[in-house]
Amino acid sequence: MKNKVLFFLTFVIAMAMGSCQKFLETAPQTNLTTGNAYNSAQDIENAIAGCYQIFMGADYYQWENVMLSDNVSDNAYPGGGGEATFVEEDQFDVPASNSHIYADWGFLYQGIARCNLLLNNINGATGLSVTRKAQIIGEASFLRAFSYYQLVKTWGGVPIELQSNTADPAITRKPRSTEKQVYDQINGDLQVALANLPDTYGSDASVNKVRATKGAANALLAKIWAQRSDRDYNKVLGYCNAVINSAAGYSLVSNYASLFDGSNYESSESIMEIPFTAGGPNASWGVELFLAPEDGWQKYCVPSHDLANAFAAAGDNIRENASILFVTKDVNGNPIAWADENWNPCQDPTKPIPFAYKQKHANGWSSGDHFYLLRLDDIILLAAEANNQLGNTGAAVNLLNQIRNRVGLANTTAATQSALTTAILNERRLELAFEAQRWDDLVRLGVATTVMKGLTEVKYTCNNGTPSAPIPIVYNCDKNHWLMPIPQSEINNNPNLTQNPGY
Amino acid sequence: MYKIYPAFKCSRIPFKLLLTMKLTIVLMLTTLLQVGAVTYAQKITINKKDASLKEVFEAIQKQSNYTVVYDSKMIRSTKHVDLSFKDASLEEVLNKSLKDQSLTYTINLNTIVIRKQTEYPAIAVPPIKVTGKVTDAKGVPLIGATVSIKNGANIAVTDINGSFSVNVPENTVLHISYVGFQAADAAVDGKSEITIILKESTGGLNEVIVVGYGTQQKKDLTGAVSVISSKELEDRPNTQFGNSIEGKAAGVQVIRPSGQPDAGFSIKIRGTSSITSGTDPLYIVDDVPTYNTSEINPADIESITVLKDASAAAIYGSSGANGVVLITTKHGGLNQKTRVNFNTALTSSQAWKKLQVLNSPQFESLMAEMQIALPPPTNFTNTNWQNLVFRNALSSSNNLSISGGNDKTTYYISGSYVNQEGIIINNNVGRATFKVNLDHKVSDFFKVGTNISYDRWSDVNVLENNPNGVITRMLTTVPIIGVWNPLIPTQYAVSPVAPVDVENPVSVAYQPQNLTVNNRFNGNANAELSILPGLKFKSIFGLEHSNSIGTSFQNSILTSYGRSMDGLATENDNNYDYWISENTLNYAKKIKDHSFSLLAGYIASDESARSVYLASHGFGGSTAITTVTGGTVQSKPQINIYDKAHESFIGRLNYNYKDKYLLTSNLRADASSIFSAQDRWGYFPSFSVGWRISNEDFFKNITAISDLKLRAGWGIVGNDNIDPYSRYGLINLSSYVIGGNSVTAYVPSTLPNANLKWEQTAQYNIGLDFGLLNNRITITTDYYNKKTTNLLLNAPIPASEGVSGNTAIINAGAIENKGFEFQVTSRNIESKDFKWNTDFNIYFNKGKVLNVVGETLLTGNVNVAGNTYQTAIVQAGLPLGSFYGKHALGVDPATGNELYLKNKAGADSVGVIGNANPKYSYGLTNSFTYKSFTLNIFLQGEQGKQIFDATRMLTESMTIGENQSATVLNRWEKPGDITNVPKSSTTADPANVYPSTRFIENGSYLRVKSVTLGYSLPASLLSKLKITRCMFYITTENLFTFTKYTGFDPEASMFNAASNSDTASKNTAPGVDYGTYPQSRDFILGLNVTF
Repeated sequence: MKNKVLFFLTFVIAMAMGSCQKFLETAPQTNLTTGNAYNSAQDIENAIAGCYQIFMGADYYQWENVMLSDNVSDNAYPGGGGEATFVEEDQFDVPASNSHIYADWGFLYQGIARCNLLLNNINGATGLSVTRKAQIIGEASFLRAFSYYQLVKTWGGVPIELQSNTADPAITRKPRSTEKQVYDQINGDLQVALANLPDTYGSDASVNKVRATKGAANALLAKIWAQRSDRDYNKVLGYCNAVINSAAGYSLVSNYASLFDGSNYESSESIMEIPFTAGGPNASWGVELFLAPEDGWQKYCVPSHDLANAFAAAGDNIRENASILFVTKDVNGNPIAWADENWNPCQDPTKPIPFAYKQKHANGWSSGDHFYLLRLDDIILLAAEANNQLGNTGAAVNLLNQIRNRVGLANTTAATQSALTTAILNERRLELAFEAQRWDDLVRLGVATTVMKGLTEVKYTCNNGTPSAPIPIVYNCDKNHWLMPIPQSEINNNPNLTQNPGY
Repeated sequence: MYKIYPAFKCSRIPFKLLLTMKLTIVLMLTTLLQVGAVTYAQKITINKKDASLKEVFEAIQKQSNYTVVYDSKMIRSTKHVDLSFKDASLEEVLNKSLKDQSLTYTINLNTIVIRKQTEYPAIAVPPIKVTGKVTDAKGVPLIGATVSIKNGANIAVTDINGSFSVNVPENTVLHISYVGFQAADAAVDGKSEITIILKESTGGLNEVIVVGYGTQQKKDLTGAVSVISSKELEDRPNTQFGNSIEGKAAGVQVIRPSGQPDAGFSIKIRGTSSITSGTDPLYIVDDVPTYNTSEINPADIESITVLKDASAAAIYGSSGANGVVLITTKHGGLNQKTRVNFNTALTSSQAWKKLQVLNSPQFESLMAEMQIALPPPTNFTNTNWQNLVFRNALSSSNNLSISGGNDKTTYYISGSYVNQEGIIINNNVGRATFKVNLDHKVSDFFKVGTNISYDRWSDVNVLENNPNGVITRMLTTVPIIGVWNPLIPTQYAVSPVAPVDVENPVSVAYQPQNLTVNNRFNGNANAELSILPGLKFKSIFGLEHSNSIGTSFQNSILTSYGRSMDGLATENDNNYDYWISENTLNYAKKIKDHSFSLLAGYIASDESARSVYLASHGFGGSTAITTVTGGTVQSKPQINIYDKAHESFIGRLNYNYKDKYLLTSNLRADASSIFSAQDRWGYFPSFSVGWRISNEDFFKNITAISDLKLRAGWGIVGNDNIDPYSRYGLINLSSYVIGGNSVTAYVPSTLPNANLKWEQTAQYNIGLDFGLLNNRITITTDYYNKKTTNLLLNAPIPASEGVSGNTAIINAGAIENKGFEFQVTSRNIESKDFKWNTDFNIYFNKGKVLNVVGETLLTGNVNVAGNTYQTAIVQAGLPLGSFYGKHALGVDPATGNELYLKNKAGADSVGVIGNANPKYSYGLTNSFTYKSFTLNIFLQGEQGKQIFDATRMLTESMTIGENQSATVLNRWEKPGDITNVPKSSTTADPANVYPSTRFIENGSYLRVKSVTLGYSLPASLLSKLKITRCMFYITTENLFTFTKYTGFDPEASMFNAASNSDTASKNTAPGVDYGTYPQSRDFILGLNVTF
């Protein structure tokens, strides 16, 4: 009997020991949570780094922004073997179900959510210096504005989300704001940025060209006031001049090609760039999608005949060589392994095929080539555009010539306002090819439809080793196509959204 | 000692191997368990005057191995006795000692229980000695059968010859029971020798059923429970657990999502009751929950019990919402002679169907029509990829088990090895298992036991369910190329037609080379203490540890992706740990006609896992090192850890009045670490009643119906099967480069939701059990209605909320499932030489979504030529498994375009276009025995379901330069053509490929799942060879399939693949075939020997 009692007691004790409320308190071990990630000064530094991280983490900044601009416009063909989603972008036939459109929309809002969480939690953190806190508020405001700018220029008025912390349908299903409201939100954030950001963080270019600065805020303000429908070229000019005359000392580098040779990033000309680093978690895989003939498949964003012709017409070898790589054979000396329907349908080993070449080192999906987000040459040309639109022709010509002379081109011959408009637009095309600028330029100047309809592009098939007669490519662009369709999945999940006209 | 040598003539195993194994086992048993030789000292010598009863009992205990159980209070006032015995029997000593003491005794195995005489009816007549023998119908002695006085104590266990000897009053009725046999009563009627023949139980009413935390006799069940016995399991040679249960239990849908050997099974009990949280049933193996059933050796399974309704499953509270599958493994029997079972089988498997695709000339003419450039035709081949990818696969399985026991200890030891080739090249699985079950009686009131298993599983799998998977590439790769690049023979040939980066299917099967090795240990130790008569305490500690290492290597030369990465290696290591402690107190009491049993218990468990993911590339063209260390560019290591804990209190009452009125009530309280403290506890009650109408007096004269029982129950069960950290807003750690240095970056990834609570399923069940013609025919029917509320819904949220994946878990929505189940077992013919048994089950389930936060969810994403389409729709009023798309009206003879139904606004109408749910499912097993031959035919089918053949969206789309199905030979080519295949398209216009009724097919099927013909060596020969059983068999699996489905396999269901982590699509988009690996047709030759 004693034994039995002992046994029983042992079990009862074992049971009692098992019952312990603490045992049910489990918490994530490989993640922080929104409840514990914004406490210290270091937390806030990590959180702001997270806001920047969208530039490396999102497909949008890896390559899709280039597809959405250069592929959509007259700079490039989709390439890539005819993947429907990019053919649709190229052909102005984007269904609302296009998966890249939905992914890009999401990436940009993820960038916004990071900034929202930081801005809404920063006051709870301790140990942050007043100066640094102000700077971080400026950085996060700038980055939020940067994402909203990408959204508004791609889709028009979008929902403005400034919380990003609940799944409650009553809060998440926001209707679209107007384009003006979104630009006003961006402008408001950029004014906060302007007020709080320094010109530089010291003398280290690898910080000053990576973090948001007053120069970056001015540059983005210039771009948004040019891009919005109710544009204000006085403001554009003012912000451009603030960049040009910045205490940060921005200046054009003498050698345009050096901007893209892979070893001269963070130069005086750069305002802000994505510091991809080769061979690790901070590398860019996007470059492999544009470049590298050796892996045997057709790449995306194949330079168009029209762009190649534009470089040739301008006699612009320096920028052409910096922007396009022509290849006839792969690295093994074999003919290129695919039929390029626009350049070389029958794999003729004597015919060159072009690649987009602003980043030159694919490095096996692990490129360290930076991507410029804001650069002085863009701002100088924007200042030229603003001066021209405001009637300051001489100033416009001077600014334009700065850009032309740097690449060995003679002064512009354009003298009238309208000739200068065309000249500046063309200059921007050659200067900023494959940098996700072209489509915005065409839309801003209202010429997107006429330019695309005026293109004479062709493709070929191959019949028993002989290229077919040229097959004209028709671009059925109208003004509705200036904006992308709101992704259907987003409309499904947020019934308060309305579709853009024409979709 | 055991005559095993002749067996080798039959089994042809190396003598030494068996000998060694036998020695090992003997050594283990003697050393580990300290089981010494036991001799019974039955003769008592005692010579004492004025001895107290205590002294007498101590003397008995000392001289015999019997324990005397008594209450010291009870003997405090007894008279002292004078005893003088030499070599007397126990009974003599006891009878003398207890004479006139108002005490009596019973001998229960080796325990003598002293009771007050009034507790038992006085035995008016003196006991007589009765010897008996218990055999089966063939006269084979049954060892270890329990002999008891009817409605009384156990008094003996049969020995090695099936014999027993007892002293009982001459008017006693003995009750003899033995696992797997119908218990029988035998009246002594003054006879001194009796022979009792037990019939094998075929789902008999006295069959003991394993229910949660205990057992019940089938007749006492009040819930909806299906049982699959070892007899049924033996009818079909299995390599996987899922085979064992497929088509055998009404209401249990077994989906074989793929024919890949590692694919596993997706089991759904009574429909799908959740949208985005897990819907797998809870699997309990020997009392311990487990997460993976595909690693169980089916040969080790003794029985499977499926608890289907809430009243049966409520004792499992949490996760009982999806039903509970209890798996009991085999044990040795007390005093069972050592039994060795060896089973070996060889399998040959083939694809049972191939699809017609275009040959080279047909392909070339299609490309010309589509204006797609082909290279110069110098090296064109005419490759039939299906012939290169499918193979004749050979598999083998071997299983050896040894079991037995003495009067205190039983054991079961088994080992198995299975090597299974898939019907697709390079696809292979190897599995070794090892199992030990031991039970030991320490004393009459204390038992201990353990169940231990270890398995190792290695798997080379191939990519499927993907536009770049081996099945889709097999159908769409251009026929004009061969396997290797003619210019560079070290490289796989890729398609020279845009899109040119796609690999051929042979390349896809071999690159990357994947290998997963999984080691798993699980087991439990248990102890049971009988505290007082009827009161038992049981404690189980179980644990499971598994470790899986998945590696892949993409060679830097063979494929274009491999070349662009310069080689790519990945490694995915997972560690999983689980422990559970179950402590239950059980009290059973019978007072006259009232039987009670009460259960109370406390359970705690914890599950944790840790996974590490590593990847690298840049191998410098080398293939010498294929692990992650060989790459020069290392990706950031990813580590994921989770931990979830549960704590529960359980209670159960069973009440039985006169075997007529039955009541079961459960209450379980569960706390889950997944929910925050204020919402942590969930309470899950259930009540069920049964009425055994056939035991009523008014039923006595109805002899045709031998058993009739009405059951009704209601209960609530819960589900918390979501990501353990769902209530937190998680922040991942990433990095950015500032100042040239990589700095930590916080990246928010999920939204917080502190108010998450239990998902609940309430279910009603009404059932009727019939037994006809002395239970030769038994019928079980059930109707149920279950409603799940507070769904743990991974609800889609606008992407503008900024959460990757665009979903967040909330409690919202409701689902309903109603159904009817019918199961009949019939012993049609039972003569001496010929037997014919039939089992048939059929079930109907109708599911309906009642509410999904007032919105429509689109799930089941398939990616076709860069466009993502949803194939399924979830919306209030629709069943889960509703297909989504446009209504195709046929091809416009004028334009060659597919016409679609328009809505009022003039746009194509998009909505529900089909239903993946069968109207009913059924299984039919007929088994015939003629002398030494057995024939077992198992048919299974589903009727009234549809399949979304998304593969055809690739093979009939004619938009890009890939090969197409031969169906496109009927395509529209010129105005006026009347056809159902639209024109080819030179642009990437997806209009003709849009998901529509064009791709919805009738998926009903009837499958001859398995036919087994067995021949057992006749008993005369067996006894000469000293073998108990030796059976040869030949089985065919999937011999015939009757279906109108045009794809590879009507059972295909891409999202139900075990590897798919998209739970929403798993639950809501069954029946989508998108390059899904088909099941094979197998021919199996096997041998099963027992000695």
